[in-house]
Amino acid sequence: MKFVFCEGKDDLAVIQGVAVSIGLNDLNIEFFSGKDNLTHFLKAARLRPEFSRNQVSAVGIVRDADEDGQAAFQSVRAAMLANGFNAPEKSGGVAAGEILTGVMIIGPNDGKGMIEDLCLKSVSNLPEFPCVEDYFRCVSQKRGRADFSAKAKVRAWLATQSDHDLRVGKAAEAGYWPWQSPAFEPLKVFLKKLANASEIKAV
Amino acid sequence: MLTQVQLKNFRGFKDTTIGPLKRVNLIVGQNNTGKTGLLEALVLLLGDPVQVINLLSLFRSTGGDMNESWRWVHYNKSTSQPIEIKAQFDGAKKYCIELGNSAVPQHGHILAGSIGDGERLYAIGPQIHESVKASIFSTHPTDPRQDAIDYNRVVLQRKKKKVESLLQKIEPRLQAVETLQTGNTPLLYADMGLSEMLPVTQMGQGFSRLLDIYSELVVAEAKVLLIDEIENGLHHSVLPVIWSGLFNVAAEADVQIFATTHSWECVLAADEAARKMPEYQLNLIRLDRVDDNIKATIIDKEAMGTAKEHHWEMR
Repeated sequence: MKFVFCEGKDDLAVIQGVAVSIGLNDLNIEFFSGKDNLTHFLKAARLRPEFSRNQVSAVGIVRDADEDGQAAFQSVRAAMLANGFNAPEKSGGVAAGEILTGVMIIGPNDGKGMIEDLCLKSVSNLPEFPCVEDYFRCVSQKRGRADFSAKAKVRAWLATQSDHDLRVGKAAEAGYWPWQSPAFEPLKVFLKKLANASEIKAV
Repeated sequence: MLTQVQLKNFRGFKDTTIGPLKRVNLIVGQNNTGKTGLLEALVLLLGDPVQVINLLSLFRSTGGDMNESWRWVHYNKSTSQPIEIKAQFDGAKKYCIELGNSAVPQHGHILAGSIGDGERLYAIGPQIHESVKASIFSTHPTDPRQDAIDYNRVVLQRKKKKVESLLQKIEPRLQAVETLQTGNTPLLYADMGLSEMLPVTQMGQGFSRLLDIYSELVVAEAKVLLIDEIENGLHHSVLPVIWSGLFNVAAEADVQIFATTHSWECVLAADEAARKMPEYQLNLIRLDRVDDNIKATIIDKEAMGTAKEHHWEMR
């Protein structure tokens, strides 16, 4: 049994979409309801029957980099070590052990950012995407404001889709994110490492 | 209060330590993972040594060769190693019983002999079992005549109203419970406000069992209650109020409860009741067979909260 723990429902849907797109259907993806809950979540998770019965071969944690990817990584690593898990030395890496463990920090903007940035990056090469950028540029000029977040841009892009009222997670379930985009490649590589846990442990 | 227990060479327990224990210890796990075995171990530790041979029939059906059945009490049926049940009381006092064929160890004294294939039960440490008695509630039907006699203790100690008020929370029509002798034997009757009192034997099994449990709790002669499949015969909707009653009376009477269950609704109801107490005094203990041993995992208040939030299966 292999677990991927992520921050929230939107992250879960995106990771699920990426995993299924590369044929990884046996990952158990769950969310820990925000980065501040990770330590408590892992402590309780270790008490689940699957862990007690030694049925778990891999645990991966995915969270947003937010403003500081390195701090996010260290925070996840500390939570894992505090709860008796091994932890890798860098984001995207895995650590061998009785349970293979991995950490992936989502920071597509030079180590910063969140799942929305990743989704945005995945559609940034689409022909219609400059229209979204133009929209925000126009609003910036008219209102003198330039700090529109990735969440705002994601919503604007999603508003142009046939179902115009979806958020990131629901859009993932509806298949609006192009899973073949290179933006998702690091996440795919990470999930494959977890999926191949038994082979990696054997090395 | 028992704060830790260690079981060695007993049924499926090769060597398992369980603790820290709390006021109420609710035991869950898959079939054949040692839930009832743990209750039996506590009977061996705290029960009347003279009645040890009855251990086989307390919670299980018996039949066939008793000596053969007795050998199953040993881990892997092997009588070459003694059974050891070690307990810690109030975090400090230690008490240990051993059962086997070997010589009585130093500082040990025999509690009972000629058990099974001539095995002996001996104690090492102070005679805890004399002060910490255990009372057993199996899933077997009880003897109605004995229940009526036992209820007299409740009446004698003027705790009848207490038991009735606890029962009224699940059966509002109940006005009183009385011991009456209309024929050769005394029986318990419930006053339900009808033209005639109703024999408790004619009421549901859940009500009758709960009457026994509450009676034992309020009298508090036994300091440890061992209840197998506590949810038996009880509708899920009354479980929260039952647990609330059990937590309150157990705290008042300084009684410790060990109960098994297969019901997650029962676990949730216990957790809900425990959170309403001044101090959270519930342990969920899950037993799992791992390799050649039984592993005990204790799920505390914080972990229970997380498990409920994420709808995890913790049994």
